[in-house]
Amino acid sequence: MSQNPPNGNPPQSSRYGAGLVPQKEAMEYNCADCGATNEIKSREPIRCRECGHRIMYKKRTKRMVQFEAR
Amino acid sequence: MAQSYDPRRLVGIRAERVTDVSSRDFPGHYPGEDHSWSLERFRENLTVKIQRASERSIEFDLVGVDASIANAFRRIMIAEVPTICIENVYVYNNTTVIADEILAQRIGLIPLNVDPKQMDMKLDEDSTDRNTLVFTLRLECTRKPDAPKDSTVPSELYENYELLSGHLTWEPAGEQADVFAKNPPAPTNPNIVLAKLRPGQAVDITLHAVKGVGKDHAKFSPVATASYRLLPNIVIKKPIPPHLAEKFQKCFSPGVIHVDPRTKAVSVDEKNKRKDTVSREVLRHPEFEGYVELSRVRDYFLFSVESESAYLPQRLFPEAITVMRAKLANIRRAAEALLDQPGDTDVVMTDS
Amino acid sequence: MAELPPKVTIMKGASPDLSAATYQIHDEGHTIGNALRWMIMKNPKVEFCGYSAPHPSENVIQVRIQMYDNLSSLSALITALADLDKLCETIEDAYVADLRKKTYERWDERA
Repeated sequence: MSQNPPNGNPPQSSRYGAGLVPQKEAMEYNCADCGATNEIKSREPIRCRECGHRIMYKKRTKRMVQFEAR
Repeated sequence: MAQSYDPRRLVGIRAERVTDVSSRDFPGHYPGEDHSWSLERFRENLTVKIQRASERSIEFDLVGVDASIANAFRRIMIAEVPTICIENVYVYNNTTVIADEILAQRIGLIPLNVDPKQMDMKLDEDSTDRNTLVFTLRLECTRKPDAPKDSTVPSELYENYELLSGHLTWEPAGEQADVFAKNPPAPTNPNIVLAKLRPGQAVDITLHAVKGVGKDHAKFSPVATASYRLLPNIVIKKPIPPHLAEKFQKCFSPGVIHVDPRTKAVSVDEKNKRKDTVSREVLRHPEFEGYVELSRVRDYFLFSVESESAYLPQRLFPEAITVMRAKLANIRRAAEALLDQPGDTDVVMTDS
Repeated sequence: MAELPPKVTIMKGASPDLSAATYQIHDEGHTIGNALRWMIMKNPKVEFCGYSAPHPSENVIQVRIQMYDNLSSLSALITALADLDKLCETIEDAYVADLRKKTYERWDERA
């Protein structure tokens, strides 16, 4: 994770600690109530666009996960 | 006439204990008798008789061997006859309610129809077409568009609502397409439910199957059960009073005791006496005291083996013998190597 | 790959002529241990034979053999291994012969 925001501004100092720099990329979440996929950017209100529910689930990783069948 | 056994061959069964459990047929135990190993004598006394077999199980008698030998074969059938099972699970997607590691464990237990002779054991080397089979498992649950409105039955409402062992698809690699052309790798049973799905849930998994043995993990065990018991022996010492005949009969498993319908004479059914569970019920009744003696024959093994793998049930016992002989040859080679070591004091000594 | 320990070693304390010795067999258990002990005890030249699987954390068994007349326990061990192999062969032949006769009952068992 880059310490610098993509626009090239120097890191803001007081309000955000290191690593808590806001990112503008949207993340996809699943609504816990209706299951709809929501794109939510950081600092946006967490609220489902379909039903207004305020609980969201993170999506499963798209990376492969390896297990031993034991 | 009832068949009688040499009393030395019998393990006594009393109301609250068993007697003469250990074998005593060793040189020096009985003065003046020769009990040293003789292959000719062993061959003469040995009887192997297959009793019944189905496509899944086999029952056979092994008579005239020591318990240590019978037990070795039983143990090898359970733990050391190799089979092919799924060992590595690569999960690309699994949005079912079954957690990845639980699903992986369940998938590992699926019996596969692959003859272990066609594959090599994968040691520490890389995967090749000789030691690894690749399967994929892909399924997505959807709603059926034409489902009846008021239905609550999953099969009417959804498509692909169950992930089954039959959904495994084999991906041939290298020479595998030719080697396995006659019998393409698949689960022995296509109806094993691995997970249940609801619309929107999906599974996308790649699987690697390898050869292994039961002592490493029970999924590799080729048998559901492999067990033996000793032949029960029932000796009626004096005639059972006719008015007690039926009560006597009920003390044993069905078919074991024959009661003549006319004379009420009681006898042991020699063919069916193996069915007895040796519950010792007869020893609980004071009216039968002194009438009957229960025992088991120490060297008469009734094997029962259920195959749960690619092996036909009748093949499991020979496979166990092959494994045993390979083990013996291996130890013998190592022991003979010790012979060649020079000098009497230069023997390899190890600590501990 | 790490080198495998030797399959059979003679443990410390064996008599120099090997008339009494304890053999440590790597990667074997009661399956071989008890069968081998039985076959060694069938040898009239053997005074004593016993085996143990000392601890589950060690993948070995130890077979103790003591001989009469200062004979070699190592040759008794090798003989027993050869005899066990003959025994296995005999059982296998008897099994296969009876299987070929097809005198057993066939029955249907549902999958």
